Formats: sequence, structure tokens, C-alpha cells
Amino acid sequence: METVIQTSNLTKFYGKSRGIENVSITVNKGDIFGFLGPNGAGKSTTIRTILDFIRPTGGNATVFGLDSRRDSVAIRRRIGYIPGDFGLYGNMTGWKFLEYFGKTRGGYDKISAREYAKKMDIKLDRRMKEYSRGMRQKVAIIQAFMNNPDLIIMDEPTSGLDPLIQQTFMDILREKSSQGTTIFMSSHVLSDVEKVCNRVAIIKEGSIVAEELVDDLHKKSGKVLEVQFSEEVSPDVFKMDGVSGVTKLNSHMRIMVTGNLENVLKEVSSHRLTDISIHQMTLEEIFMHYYEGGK
Amino acid sequence: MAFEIFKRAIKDKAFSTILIALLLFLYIFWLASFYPSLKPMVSGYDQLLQNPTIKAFFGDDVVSMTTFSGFISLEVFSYMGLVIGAFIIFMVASFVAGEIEQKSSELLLSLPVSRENIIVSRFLAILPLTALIVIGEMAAIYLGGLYIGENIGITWFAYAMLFMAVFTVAVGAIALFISSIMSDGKKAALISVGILFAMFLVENIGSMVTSIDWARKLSLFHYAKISSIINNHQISWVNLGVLIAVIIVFLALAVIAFRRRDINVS
Repeated sequence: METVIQTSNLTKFYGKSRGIENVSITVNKGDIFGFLGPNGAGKSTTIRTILDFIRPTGGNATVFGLDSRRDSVAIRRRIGYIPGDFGLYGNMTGWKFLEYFGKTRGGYDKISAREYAKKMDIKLDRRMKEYSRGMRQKVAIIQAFMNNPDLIIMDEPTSGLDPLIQQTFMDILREKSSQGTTIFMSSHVLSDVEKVCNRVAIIKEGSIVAEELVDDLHKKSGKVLEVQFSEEVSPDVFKMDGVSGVTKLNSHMRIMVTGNLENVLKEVSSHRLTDISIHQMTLEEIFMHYYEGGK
Repeated sequence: MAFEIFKRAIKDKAFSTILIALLLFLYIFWLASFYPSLKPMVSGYDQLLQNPTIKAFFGDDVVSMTTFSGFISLEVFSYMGLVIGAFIIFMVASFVAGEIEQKSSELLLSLPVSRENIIVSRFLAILPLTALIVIGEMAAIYLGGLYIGENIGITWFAYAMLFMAVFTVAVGAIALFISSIMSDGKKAALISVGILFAMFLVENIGSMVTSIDWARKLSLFHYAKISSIINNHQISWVNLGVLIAVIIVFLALAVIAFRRRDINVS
């Protein structure tokens, strides 16, 4: 499988302050790769280092097999990028901006730009200083997609989009991926990531704590038991091997099981209960599991 | 050079440049037009200009206003470097620091253009914009002279304008370097204007106070002797060479600084 992005021990310190440390991830051709972590975990720093906006203090990154620093211009010929926090050129209209970016990338495909504008449901005739946050986000999406790049890197791409457009955007991602485009996206919206991403990495305090296929992550991460007891049960009785967390709200208990279920079920069945359900951890639960120190 | 970035920089700054060129044209033409009514009183003005406090502002090489050239060099060119320099500084401050401040720098850097090319393309945009302002001034002097029937040495004014243009571009190169190392457009502009004003004072006060005469060599104004060209018909090609060297050095520094730095939008 062709590797599109590879980072090896990528490290960035701002003086003594940690940005990212020994980040090693691999993104393959056609992946929709979700990059998860809360604010300050190092998602944007990783992206900026890959794109050569900031320079690593250690390690290296390659994109399409090219060195991210030495060959950054050649790399950027093949990518589209949506920053997480950005401003646009307020005095330009949306169309002028797209024309400017398209031409600077080597060719403005007006038809493609119009198609994406139609999908994003935006009129681009006004000056961009009059645009709302959502409209600016749509313009950033169009400029990243319109030149049909091989790789699209996005930092929180759905922020500011209404639910309908978010859905359209997810459809576009799936369509591009099926055509061989590689997508790398950081996001806080875990349900979105779960819907479209085939692989994810979780970054915690600047370091990668998990990098898996989403399906494998689900399988490995275990199950969640939601139990409604009809008698008083202490969470302490579930302190056993394979249980990574127990939360209790009145008579309702939530047990996260990463090991063998059998012992847990035996303990559950020794109490009177009114309801029980078992499901695989959602991405959000997995994410919280990592962040609560479960792994 | 990245032609699209060069073209966009010119388009972005065209309106304000045309406006300033037009205003300066009208101002200089207006000044020239009332020279005939001022001429009978110039001896009084000349005496006033010998006052050391006034010399500290205009410099020691204050010329007599008995000629149209002297009048123009005193009323226009004694401070025009400050005016045009400040305009160019505010324009250039937005090229890098302003771009980071308004958070468009990451989108710009995602384009397949090297950082060197971005700096050089935007620097080159200063050239036609400066030329527009300087040609406007030249036209105002020429037409103003024609209007009041004064015979002016257009060749020497043209040389003076060449020096003015190169001086302005040198100011732009220094401002571009400052913009390249900062992330706040307004701060970058204010620091550059501060440096420009300090150079102006050093040159003019230094011409009066011999103990700081050495410091004049650090001022760009020292190498753009507009009054000397217009009135004494003296041209120092060495001075022009120094200004060009300043342009090259500061453009190179701007490229190096921008190429090496982290661009962090927060």
C-alpha cells in the first residue's frame, strides 16, 4: 500500500514548552485518516510541521515520499489545505479569491469551483469581509478541493458548518476517497470522524497514544455494559481485572470492559437488575477512555 | 517570481497608491502655483530658515527660495522622503506581518510557492507602485512650472526623482525585513516608521551637531541628497550605490528571516 504521509519521531518544542513529541504516524493512499485530540494536544502543531509552516526540533516527515522541508513546494503542488483558524482577504470576493488561489496553484478550474460552491450552497459574489464564520469555512473547503489534489489536509474542517452542509461535506469526503484522494483531518466532532474515517490516531499531550483502523480500535477497545440495578450495588464490586472504568448515577451503572466479560457478567447476575445492554465502545468512548488514563 | 502573487500585491495596493499619487500631485501643483505670489517675500523666509531650530528639521543644506527649484526642494523634498517612506512602510507591513496578523498566512503558505518567491514577488510589487508616486510628483513639478511660467531643469528633477524612488524602495526593503520577523502588522509598521523618523532626525540634526556627524552615515536620508541634485546639479553615484546595496542586503535578510522562521497562527 502506497504511503502518503509518514512522520518519524516528529518533535517540536517551543523553547522549553512541548508542542509534540516523537509523533510517528502513517497515512496510506485512499485513507480518510482522523486525527483526534483535545485543544493543546498537538494536532495543529503536527499538521503545521508536516506542511513546513513550522520546523521540527527533532524527527522528520515525508509526504508522497518527499521530505517535508526540502521538497515542500513540490509537496504543496499536490495538496489542498484547510487551516483550523484562518482569515480571508476581506476586500476580495469569494470568486476572485478562488481564481487567485487556483491560478497560483497552476490553473483555475472555474467549473470545479462552481460545482463545489453549488454543493456548499454559497454565493461568492460579495466581498469576503461580509462573510459569516460558516461562509468562510465553505470558501476554505472549496479552495482546498477545487484543484482535485492527491492529498487534502484539514484542521477541524466542519467547524462553523450547519448540519446539512456537514452531511454534504461528509459525502464529498467519501466520494473523494473512493476516487483515490487521501484525506487527513483533525476533528473534535468524533461522531463525524466515526462516520467517515477508516483510520484514526489519538494524540495526548503531544504524543500518539493510539493509531489504528477504526474497526480494529473498536474490537480492541472492548465493550460498555449499561446496567440498571433494582438494588443498591457498590461500584467497588466491579474493581476486577479487565474492567477499566465504572461510573454510577443513582441505580444506573456504566461499566467499561476491556478484558474478559465473563467475570463481569457473573458479578452483574449476582444482583437484581431491571435492564442491561452491551455495546461496543463508540469512538467517543474510546477517546474518553484514553484521556481518562485508561490506557 | 510568483507572477500571481506579484500581480495580486499590485492590485491590492493600487487604489491607495493611485490616491496618494493623486493627492501628492495636487498638493505639489498647488504649492507651485502660488510661488509667483510668494517670490517677492522670499528674502524674509530665507532669513527665517537660518534659525538653528528650523535647520534641525530641514537640515543644514537649506537652499534659498529665490529660485523655483530652491522653493520646491525646500517646500516639497525636505520632508517628502518621510511622507512617501511612511506610505510604503504601511503598505509593506501587511506583506508578511500583516498576513500573519489577519491569519491568512497559512492559506498563503499552502500554495506551491516558496517563501523566497513570496517575499521577492511582493518586494517587486513595490517597484511599479513607487514609480507611480514618483512619476506623479515629477509631473506635478513639470506642469506646475509650466503653469507659472518658470523654466525648470527637468533633467535634474528627473535625476532627483530617480534618487527619491531608489530611496523609497530602500525604505521598503528595510520595512519588508522588519515585517518578515514580526507577526503583528501594526507593530511592524510603527517600528519601521520610528526607524525612518530617527534616520530623518539623525541626518538633519547631525548636519548641525558635529559630535554626531558620524551617525548620519547610518541614515538613508544622507544618501538621497535631493536638494543637492536639484539646486547644485551634483549627483553622487556612490550614494545611489549605497541605497541599492541597502535594498539588496535588506531584501536578502528578509528572505532569510522569512525562510527560517516558524509561522504560527494562534
